[in-house]
Amino acid sequence: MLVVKNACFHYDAGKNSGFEEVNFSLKTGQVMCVLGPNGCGKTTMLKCLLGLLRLQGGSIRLDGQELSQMSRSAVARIVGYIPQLHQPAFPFSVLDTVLVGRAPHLGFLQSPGEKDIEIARSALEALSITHLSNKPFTQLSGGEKQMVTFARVLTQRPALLLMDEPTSHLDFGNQTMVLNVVQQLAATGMPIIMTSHFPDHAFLTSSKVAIMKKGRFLDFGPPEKVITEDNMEKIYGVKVRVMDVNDVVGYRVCLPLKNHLNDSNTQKINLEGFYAKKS
Amino acid sequence: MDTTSECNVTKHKRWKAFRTSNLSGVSAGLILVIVLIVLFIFSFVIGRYPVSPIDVVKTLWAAIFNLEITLPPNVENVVINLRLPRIIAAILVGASLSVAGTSFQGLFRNPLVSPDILGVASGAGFGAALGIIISGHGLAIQALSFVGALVAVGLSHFISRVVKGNQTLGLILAGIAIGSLFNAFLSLMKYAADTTNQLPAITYWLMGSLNAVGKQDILMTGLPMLIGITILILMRWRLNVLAMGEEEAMALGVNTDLLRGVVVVCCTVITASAVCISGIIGWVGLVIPHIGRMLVGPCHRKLLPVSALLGAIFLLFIDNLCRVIAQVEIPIGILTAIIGVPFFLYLLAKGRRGWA
Repeated sequence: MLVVKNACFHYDAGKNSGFEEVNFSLKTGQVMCVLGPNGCGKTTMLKCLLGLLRLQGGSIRLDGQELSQMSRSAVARIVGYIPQLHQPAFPFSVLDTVLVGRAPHLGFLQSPGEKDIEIARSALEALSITHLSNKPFTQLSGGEKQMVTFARVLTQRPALLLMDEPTSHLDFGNQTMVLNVVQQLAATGMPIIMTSHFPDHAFLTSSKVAIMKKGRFLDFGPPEKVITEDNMEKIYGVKVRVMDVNDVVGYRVCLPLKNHLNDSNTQKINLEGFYAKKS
Repeated sequence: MDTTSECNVTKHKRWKAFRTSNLSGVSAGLILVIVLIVLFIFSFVIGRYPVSPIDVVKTLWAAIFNLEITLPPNVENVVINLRLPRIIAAILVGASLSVAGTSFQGLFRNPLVSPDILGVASGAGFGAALGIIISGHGLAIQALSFVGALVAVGLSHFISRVVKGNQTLGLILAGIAIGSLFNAFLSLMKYAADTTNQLPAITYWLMGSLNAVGKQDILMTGLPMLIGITILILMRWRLNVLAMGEEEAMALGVNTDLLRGVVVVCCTVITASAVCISGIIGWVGLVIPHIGRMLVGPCHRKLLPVSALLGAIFLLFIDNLCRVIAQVEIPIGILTAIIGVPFFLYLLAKGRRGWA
């Protein structure tokens, strides 16, 4: 489905948050989670996969077709994107927001017609949020907004889904709900790539994990092999324990260690000195 | 039996959803069209020379189908030659300014934007003042104000290409800068103008008026305004996509550079065409979009046509007032604000905002 070979991209003057020598491939129904610290190049890589930025080297092939040779709307008919949540400028109704997903299927002067509205309606129905149809998007809760964004991307009818930190800014319950939707989408055969800050989310949803640091893949493979205590310390600089609680919750978890204040690697803050100076 | 009742329920639900989401736009549009037609006829009736509404309809009917009329020739002269151009101008200028305002607010994702944001008005004002000083001929003033408006927006666009990063923000900043520059040029023209004829002429031009609009003006500026408005209305749904944010719009396959270019060109052409026959009329392009959003919500599919109709109605109404409210004509730019501001504040106080 998706094959990425030797991909590389850098913003001008070799700043951070570019990436290089990225190689991976993804098959139908696989969920790939990209873990890595802020500024490691995760989002930049997503933008290249979306065709928003042009690769400076290497290739991205979608179903055998070279991405750089496709038009922007052709890419948008294949690749769906769920960006990080943000407020639109005007309080569009949920239905109007979802309809926007039809954009790559419509001509420059075309407005969505009955058929498009029907597709948007059934997307809302599939996610059981039909009752939100006429509400202003701006007045929804974070979880509801993310569900509407899912409906929008379904309306786009993509063959590959990219998500940039889909669980950020969501409460605990909504995070779980979103991951649930991700799993169900993958079960229908949709390949998904998502970036995340939570190794647990990778264990919960993913069949492949890539860990990134300074624009390079340090490791790539199934989560059990990639999310190790060593690897996590390498990319995040903190000590963690990875535990198999399969018989309790059905997957592994990754937890940071408590109380290593005396550890020489721990960054110390000098609060006492701060308070002493203040008085 | 079960299936039929279920089917009825879903049908009912669908109909209800359809009614709440779409029909409000259609019905608002219909009501506004009717109001505009009534106001259109009524606008011929008011004025110093009395004409009955029936005579108005007869005269227009005869003019459209090229029939013989049995009415006094004065009626025809007043209706067709004096009042018709002015009424059409009010409708076109009102619609143009509102459509440009709505499109720019959508393009820049900001409800505080007016059609002047890229320097159209300052450029047109400078051009008109230059025309008044070097020639004083009506056609020269119009042509120079039109060119001035295009030059100002062209410069804003050119400068924004140099700004790195966010194109939209760059365009707004460049527009503000160019606007100030042309305002300074305008002041220079005022300073250089002779105070007996030219300075008052510049001042009156800047207050806006449809007093001097004739058939010729409509023939020259009507077509560009209609074409610009039509293109913007045809592509209006894309503004919804763009309102999601530049990057998201691009991810949805939209060519945002092309879209921005088309919107800016169309808005500039219709605003410049309007301003060059009417002078500066503020407030319409900023506030009519808000009133439109209060009526039908922010979706541009409904909002843009509704804005066009609202703007036409508002400006025609205000222009009628300008004609009859006092012995002397009041400049229209003054009345749009004096009538428009309290009305807008009243709507604000009622809490029907529609942008948040």
